[in-house]
Amino acid sequence: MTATATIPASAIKDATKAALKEAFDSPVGMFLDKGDALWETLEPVTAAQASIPIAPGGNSIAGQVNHMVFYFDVMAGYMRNDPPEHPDWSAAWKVVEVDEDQWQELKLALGQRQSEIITLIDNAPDEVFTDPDIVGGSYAIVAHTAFHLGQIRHALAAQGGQYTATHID
Amino acid sequence: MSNETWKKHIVNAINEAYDGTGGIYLDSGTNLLAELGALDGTQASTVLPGAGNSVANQVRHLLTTVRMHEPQFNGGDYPELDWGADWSEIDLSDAEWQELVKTFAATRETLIGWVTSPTVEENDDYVGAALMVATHHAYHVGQIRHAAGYAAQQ
Repeated sequence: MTATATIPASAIKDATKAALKEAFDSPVGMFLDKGDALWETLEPVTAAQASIPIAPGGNSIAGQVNHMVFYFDVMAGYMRNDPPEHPDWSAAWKVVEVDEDQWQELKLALGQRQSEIITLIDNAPDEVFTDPDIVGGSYAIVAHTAFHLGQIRHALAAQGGQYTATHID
Repeated sequence: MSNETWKKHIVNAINEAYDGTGGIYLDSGTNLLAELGALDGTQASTVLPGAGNSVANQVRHLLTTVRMHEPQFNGGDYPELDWGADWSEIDLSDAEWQELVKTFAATRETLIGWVTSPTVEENDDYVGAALMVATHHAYHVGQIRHAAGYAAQQ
């Protein structure tokens, strides 16, 4: 094989958006099985299930979602060239138990952040997408979402029910 | 587009999956390889109730995935892989488990070598493969850390 000059920014953007779609909405087999996306995973989860600590005294699925919302906000700040000065990461983990209204609000907040990040990526011209904060922030969200989706699915599997913690390909 | 900027983030994500030095999705100081190495064979083979798999299953799955990706970077035919075998019951001795961890640890340099190879053709397939392998690792690190936390208490 021979080395080529550069990767087009459009290829990175497209791959990043495809990975976000895989993680959130509809897997095509990049790294998840069908049915394992975040929204497909969270939709049937009740507030009570979301409030069960993953380990005694530990965080819950609601806490994980709240942390993801917080992470999105921090990364979006970097992508807008307006990073928060001292983000309080621990505050995001203080949410453990939620009632149904709070659980719905958390999911709504996460959906809003998902849309916001897609818009930020779409609106970044190719020449701007070379910025380390933008290209890094957008991929960081992909990896971070995958990590927490893995934790959430494993936690749900451990709770019992129809969830599968893993995939076979 | 600066290839190196994007590649750096992919390499960071790969590193993160092994010893947490990437700074993307794990807290500072988290070191998966150290956590894995602290388990004994029985703990690593313990099936988490409900989840149906063990830490050793997950690590074996990541090794299979690395083998799957090689042609995407280096060319050649896709190997025949038995994905189901990754998730079959496993009962490792301490020595077997440590050998599995060692084999897994070695895949870090393999993956980074593929992603940063000066001779790899940086086309759409390359971009997809690099992103896929780093993200797939992240997904399973999430599961492994959950399972390892349970196993360590056994």
